[in-house]
Amino acid sequence: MSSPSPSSGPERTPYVRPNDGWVCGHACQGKPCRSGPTPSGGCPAAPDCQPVLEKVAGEEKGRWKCTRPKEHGGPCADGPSPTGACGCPGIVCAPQRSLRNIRGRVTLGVVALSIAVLLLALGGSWRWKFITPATVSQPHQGAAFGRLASQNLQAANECGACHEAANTSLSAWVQTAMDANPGMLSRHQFRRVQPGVTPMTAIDRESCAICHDRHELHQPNVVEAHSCSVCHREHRGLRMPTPSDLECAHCHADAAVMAASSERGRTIPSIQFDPPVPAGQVVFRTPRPPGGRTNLFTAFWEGHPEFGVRTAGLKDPNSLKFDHALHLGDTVRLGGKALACSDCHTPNATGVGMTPVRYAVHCASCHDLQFDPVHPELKLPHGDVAAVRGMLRGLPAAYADLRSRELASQGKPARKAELDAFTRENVSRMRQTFGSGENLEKLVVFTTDPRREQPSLSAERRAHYAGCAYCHEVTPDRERLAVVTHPVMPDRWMLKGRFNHARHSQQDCESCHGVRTSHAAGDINLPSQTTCVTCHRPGGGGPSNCSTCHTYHLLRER
Amino acid sequence: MRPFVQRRFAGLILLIAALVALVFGHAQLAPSLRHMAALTGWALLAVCLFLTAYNARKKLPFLPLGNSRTWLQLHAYVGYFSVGLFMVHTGWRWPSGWFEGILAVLYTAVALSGVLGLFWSRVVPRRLTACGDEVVFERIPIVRRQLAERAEQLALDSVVSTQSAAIADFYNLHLAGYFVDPGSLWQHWVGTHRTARRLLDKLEDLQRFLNADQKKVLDELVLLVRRKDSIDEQHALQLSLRLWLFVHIPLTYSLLVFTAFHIVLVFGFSAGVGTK
Repeated sequence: MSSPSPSSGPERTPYVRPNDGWVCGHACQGKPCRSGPTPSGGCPAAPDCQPVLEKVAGEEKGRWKCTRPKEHGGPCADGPSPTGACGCPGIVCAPQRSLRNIRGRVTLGVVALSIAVLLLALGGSWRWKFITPATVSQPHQGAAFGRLASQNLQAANECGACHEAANTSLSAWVQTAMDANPGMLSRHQFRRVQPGVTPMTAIDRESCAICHDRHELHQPNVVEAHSCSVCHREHRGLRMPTPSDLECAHCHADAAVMAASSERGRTIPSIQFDPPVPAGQVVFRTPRPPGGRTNLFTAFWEGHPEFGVRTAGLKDPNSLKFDHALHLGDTVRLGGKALACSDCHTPNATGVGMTPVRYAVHCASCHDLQFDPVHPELKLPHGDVAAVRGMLRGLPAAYADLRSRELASQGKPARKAELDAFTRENVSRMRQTFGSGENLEKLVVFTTDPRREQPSLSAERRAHYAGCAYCHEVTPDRERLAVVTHPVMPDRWMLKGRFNHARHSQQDCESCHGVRTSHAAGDINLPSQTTCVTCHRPGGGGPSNCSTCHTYHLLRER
Repeated sequence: MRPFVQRRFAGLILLIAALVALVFGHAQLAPSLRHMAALTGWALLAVCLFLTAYNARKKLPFLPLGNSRTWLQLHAYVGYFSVGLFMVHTGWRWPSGWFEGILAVLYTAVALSGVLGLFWSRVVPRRLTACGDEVVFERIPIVRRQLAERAEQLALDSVVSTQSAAIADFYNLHLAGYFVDPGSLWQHWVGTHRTARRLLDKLEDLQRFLNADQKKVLDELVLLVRRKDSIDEQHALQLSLRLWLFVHIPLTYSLLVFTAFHIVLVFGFSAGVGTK
């Protein structure tokens, strides 16, 4: 390595300038010049020294003296030229960028590269793939959805179905962001959920609601309509995740919102809160509380109110006289065994609910509607008082028919004389036992306690000779003798939630339905919320999120 | 307890308290706040801008903005806090999209380089102290040149003073290049000193064949070799303190660029975070 001559004067002091953008080109050789490069990176190469003109007193011309410092070799041998120019002109160096300067350029380069990557990625056809946060759910992707978006929403692409910005150019995105609701500079994005009558956001109405037109409502008294995307988080994979409890708690844990909802609910007719019911389904409608369902709570296991169906004073509308405790006790036997719940309550085809209890299937084996102890095979029809009266008034014909069937089974011919004799004998017997036919009709229809009417019957047989009023609510009627109130057995009890019996099949019925102490059909034997929380809580073994039972949307019929 | 330990202890306690408050506050606010991600997002941006401001602060030493040591302390602790904020903002999940993935990678790279840089800046000063006389980074080439000139002078003078070319030959063969060369950065970062040790071994081998006068010269050369090794180590270590910023700072600005676009995307493609 050659030893360069300093360019603009030697370094006299350890004066370092690490923050400067440039360093002397000789610095790496350990010989930086004193003044260093110019701010723009130029070498201020100049004569090594500033020759000084020395004049002796009286001398006119004087003599130029070299002032090169000792560190740079001291005064040169030749000295300055006669004109005062340095005799050892310096060597111009190529100043080097300082580390700080290089770092600044690297930073600029990386920033430029970042912008270039963004522009490249956004400029090509892979733009949407690049910016999408994650995979879109299965129903919201593919050619079919693209066609739907194009037809219904005039969207330029699949993304444009939901995002207005996707239908605009890249340069318009910033403006779209500024126009967002709330915008990036809007303080509304930080505010807490506040009560106020607000519609859905424009983007929901213009995109989601076009296809999901029946999903707009939650409850009519909602004061804070969330956008669909608050709960339905798109871009989370092929299967859209179930809305979290947090979304429900946004309102249901906020006292102000619930108070406003309650207030608003008072002005809306109760019927508007009733969810639609499928045709033919019998449901139990729980009266809406005066303040609406606006209790404050954060989760099912934390503060969730008691089920409305268990509100004090509510009764099962079923008019049947039925005693669960009696039927499950020791008195009632079927085939010598005590009854079990499943003897009457059997799952329906899906297992979600139960098949309705029917007389012919579940009751007739014990409650056979016989009326003649001598001929128990004679049975009254079920379900119609007129039919019952018809049979009783045609009793001679019934006996004749019975006898003819008996003879036929014995292979004997049914002669009229024999049939008449049989009929007369039995009708006479019945008259002696029950009095007039009118009295028999009244006994059959209005008997509430066969023990009292026919004390000679055994307990087992008594049930077979009960009157209509034994099980039904019967009211006298001048023309029709009596009117039997048709028992109403709801297919669904809690309309705001859903329940799947099949998923609870491992549970004993009585662990939820406490029917051992229920003596009236009017008792509502549904489990309490506390009973459900036993399992439906964190660590309880069952799911405990809101969507397990509830659906946010109050779907309307089209 | 020493002031430094006290300060670090207090800083750690504050950091942990802030992180706990963040997680707890997030859980508390989330149910009632309309769009929690917006709040955490803007907070994260503010924190990132504050962290970036440390670099700007160094460019404005004349402004009364507090001393650099305080800024560094704040930079470190706020940096750690930003990691928690980032986790909360992303919902404790790694983004799966390309753009958000790059954004997350950039943040992670900046955070990791920051943590590693901080660790390195704690290790290096101890090693520099162990090196002995510390030289300002910019003056290292000058000292290195002086050492090279001194070694060359010793070698040349030894020819006359010892009437032998043994040391001069050895110098030309093994030492001349060593004194000029800045040395291997890796050797000094790792701390092996292999080149210097090999030369010292050779010098020791040579010593057996030298007379007393020559040994005196050789001893001086040994000292110069040790000094050169020390200077090279200082150079490597001080350079490393500057080089990690070549990762940390450019990526920080790249992160800000991507963040700006992220904000545009979030609001431009917002599916409606609420109503006005």
